Amino acid sequence: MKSNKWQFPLFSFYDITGMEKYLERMAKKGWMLKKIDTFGYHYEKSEPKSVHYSVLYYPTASAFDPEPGEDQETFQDFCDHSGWHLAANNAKMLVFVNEKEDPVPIHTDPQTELEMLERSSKQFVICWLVLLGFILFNLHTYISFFRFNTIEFLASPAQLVLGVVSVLLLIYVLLDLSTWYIWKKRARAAADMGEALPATHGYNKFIGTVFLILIAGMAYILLTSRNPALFISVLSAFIVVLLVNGVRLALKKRKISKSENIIITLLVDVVICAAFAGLMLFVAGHVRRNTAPESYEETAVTAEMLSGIPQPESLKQLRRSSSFLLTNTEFSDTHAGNAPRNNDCSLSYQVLDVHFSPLYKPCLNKLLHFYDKHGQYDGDTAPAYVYEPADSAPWNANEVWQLNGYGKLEPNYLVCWDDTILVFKPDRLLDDAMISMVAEKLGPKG
Amino acid sequence: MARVKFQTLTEQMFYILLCLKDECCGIDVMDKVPEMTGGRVQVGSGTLYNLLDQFLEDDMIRETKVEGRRRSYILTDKGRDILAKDYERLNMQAADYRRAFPEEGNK
Repeated sequence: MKSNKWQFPLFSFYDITGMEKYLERMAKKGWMLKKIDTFGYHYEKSEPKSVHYSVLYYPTASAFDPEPGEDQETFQDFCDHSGWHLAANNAKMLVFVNEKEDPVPIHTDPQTELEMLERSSKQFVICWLVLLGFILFNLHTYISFFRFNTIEFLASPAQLVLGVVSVLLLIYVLLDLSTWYIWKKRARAAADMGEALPATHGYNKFIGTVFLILIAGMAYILLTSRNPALFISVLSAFIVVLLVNGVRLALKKRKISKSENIIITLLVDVVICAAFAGLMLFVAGHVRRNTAPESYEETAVTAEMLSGIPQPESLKQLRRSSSFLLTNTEFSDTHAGNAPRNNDCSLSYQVLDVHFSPLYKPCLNKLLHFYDKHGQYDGDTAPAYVYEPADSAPWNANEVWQLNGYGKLEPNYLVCWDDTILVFKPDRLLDDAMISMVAEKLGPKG
Repeated sequence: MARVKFQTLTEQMFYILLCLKDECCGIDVMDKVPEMTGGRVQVGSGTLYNLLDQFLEDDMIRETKVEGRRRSYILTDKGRDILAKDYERLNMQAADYRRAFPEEGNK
């Protein structure tokens, strides 16, 4: 039978009732709280006991204290006297346990109890507000990206998951903050009337679910993005956090004073982050130099195929991103080197495979209006570049549009098949033979 | 802070101050109050700790001796004054009650 247990329960900082009840339940099952640290609660096996737990925050305690200050020790002495022994502590949080049957609570005056709690809550609220600001800023950049690069956004599973995760986090932080303020108001009212403070409620199930989704989401992003740099940077962020925490704990053990601990930990933090950033840059550059640009597949249409002129030095690049909503493939075939020569040909195109049909029309609309602002000057009412309907027969498609700029037809074709949209941009106008070839290669099969 | 700066004392505050009429160690107050009140009033360790701090800050008690972490306190004149005023208030309260219910006689 195991003699030690470790758990990571997620309680809101103000959910004292929740924490106490939870610890009492664990004690009844024979698990006594031994230690609390950044990784969670650690228990020791003992015989089942019916005990009382009291959780409170000591305002002047700190995660950087080598040992409790004298006033905190005096406080603990007072508690010891009535049978409340310190079971575990972490930063400001103190957990007391009492084996007496009906002990006098540590707090018998609601006013002072509430004051003590409010003084300690400031740091949590600040953390939450900072996180809130960060999430809102991210969401703003995020939404802008969605509006301006809708297609890239929808085709990227990473962006989609990040979106869901950000929204969930936002809801959680707002929920926690508002519940705290609501409870605080009720508690103030109760204390003013001399009544005991109301019990707190948490939403562990909700928090737990959010947390799980967060972890699952991050795992999904890491595994599906074929970008090793992303994986390494997340891993190193994790390692940095562990290292910094390790430094803080080591300094604590060696009884360094609180202010010295803070300074040293901060310095080490900066050094470690800089070192990792440097490492990341090195790895990223190295990786880029060694991997060739993704090779084009046989199904791509090259400039050589279109013109019939061999293009030995052309640079071909294929980029594809795929989510359950869309697959976006972009291919370009351009002349390498600086000076274009007479026989150089180039082309580029974008293939959009729409998996989720309601998105078809919005995507098409986005593409149709892509050149609206092109070549427009202030005061112009009509766009200079417009997609006009063209003959769809040679393409074997439902609709085809061709770009018209300043009255002249451009080599820019927007082709609509059932579930696929193609934007084809060669360097010359296409004849029927070329169209046929392109349609066969890039259009829907079968 | 309770009710306009100790104008009216809570029961807990009253008894803590009462205990400190003679020099007493902080921790012992925790035992003296229930003793004094026949178990009717209990003061929690946290509450006592906080109130002692507040009383010190407000000059209602002063530290007499310190033995390691055991500190002893005693009422100051200001403290005795406030305690006396609260006793008067309690008396007046009791008198008002007797006036309202004269038939209950003196219990």
